[in-house]
Amino acid sequence: MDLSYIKKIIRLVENSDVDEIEIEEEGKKIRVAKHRNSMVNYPIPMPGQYPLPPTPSSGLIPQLEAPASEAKPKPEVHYHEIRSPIVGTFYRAPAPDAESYVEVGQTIKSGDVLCIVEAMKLMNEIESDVDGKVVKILVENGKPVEYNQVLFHVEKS
Amino acid sequence: MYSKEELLRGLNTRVIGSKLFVFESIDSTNICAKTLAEAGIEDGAVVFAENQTEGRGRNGRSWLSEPGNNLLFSVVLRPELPKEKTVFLTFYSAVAVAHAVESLIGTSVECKWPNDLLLNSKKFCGILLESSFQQSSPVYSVVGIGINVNQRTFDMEMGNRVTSLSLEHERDFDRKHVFQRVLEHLDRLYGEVRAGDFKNIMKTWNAKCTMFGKPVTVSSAHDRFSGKALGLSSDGGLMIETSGGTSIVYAGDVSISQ
Repeated sequence: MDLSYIKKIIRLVENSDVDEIEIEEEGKKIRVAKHRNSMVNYPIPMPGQYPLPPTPSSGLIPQLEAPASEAKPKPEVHYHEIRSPIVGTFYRAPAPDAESYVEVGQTIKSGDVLCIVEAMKLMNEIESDVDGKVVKILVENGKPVEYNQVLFHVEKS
Repeated sequence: MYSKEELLRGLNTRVIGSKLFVFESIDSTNICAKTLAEAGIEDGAVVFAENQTEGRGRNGRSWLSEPGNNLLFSVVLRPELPKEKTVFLTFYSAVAVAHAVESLIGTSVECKWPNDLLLNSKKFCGILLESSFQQSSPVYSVVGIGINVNQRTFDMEMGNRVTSLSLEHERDFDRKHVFQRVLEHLDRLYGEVRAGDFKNIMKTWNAKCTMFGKPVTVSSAHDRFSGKALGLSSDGGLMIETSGGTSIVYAGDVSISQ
């Protein structure tokens, strides 16, 4: 994974509607994410450190992660996981033409509906069991999900 | 329009129908039942309406019904089932309605996966269930039931795919009678449901299903394929034999290929 490749990925994301892309290749991982606002989550602060101010300018921050085996021990942020209670189909909205229940970056409260998982014409509204912010949506709308599959990462508030 | 007292008079149930809310017109009985469930309404509460302005089916589709001619109602259930068994409520409600209608018309009702009910291969009843899940277990489920009772004409578009009790039997039915029978059959099977025992319900459903062994087409948001319907998996999915092996379908529209 050389610098020109990374630059290419950055340009790709910059010129597209995609907000975030993560590529893993031969044990190396790169994630490129667009700034949605000035509240940047990256980089992750070390314990006892103050968060670094957001980098101004480009709006894109590449992140390179070394393979796990070579990585020095570092604190990881453990997001709260919202899992599917059943096997079924994942829907982000109550109907095909309706707005999604939640988007990445949205603040949510315990009891808020995050999605529907349908099985056998039973539409299961999956509620959050914590207050926080949606960090990642791991499944595409309309795709099948397995029992206990992680659907959302939520940063607890 | 029926009054609450009329609909309850002579009803013989223990849990289902413990509370009844009657509306002349409402957005959707499921929406109302969900709101009541959120507010803590008891197990077995029923919302009945003569007309729905936003009647819904699967996938945001609308459910159309002539005001005053059919049955539209939703039942709140709190059976405290383990989460993997909640999906069987879909078969429970289909079997209860099938029993109720059969007791009135004397002929067999056909089940189509997962919970459509047919007479002469045409749909007369649609059921949509909605549950609210927190991470540990379902909090409540709402069973929305629409039965075409006395409606005689349908949109051309749906023409040969839908029917009503009166179209099939060339007479009008007492809607209150049909409603009470359905509640009574839901109530009669509810003991088994609360005990988490779906053996009898699934046996009945399987015996009434007319899809097995037939070529079917499955359509979902991202996929469309054909195969032969083999039977149900242990978790209620529809097993379909395709050229690439056996698939199990949990959501989607399944139609018998012509």
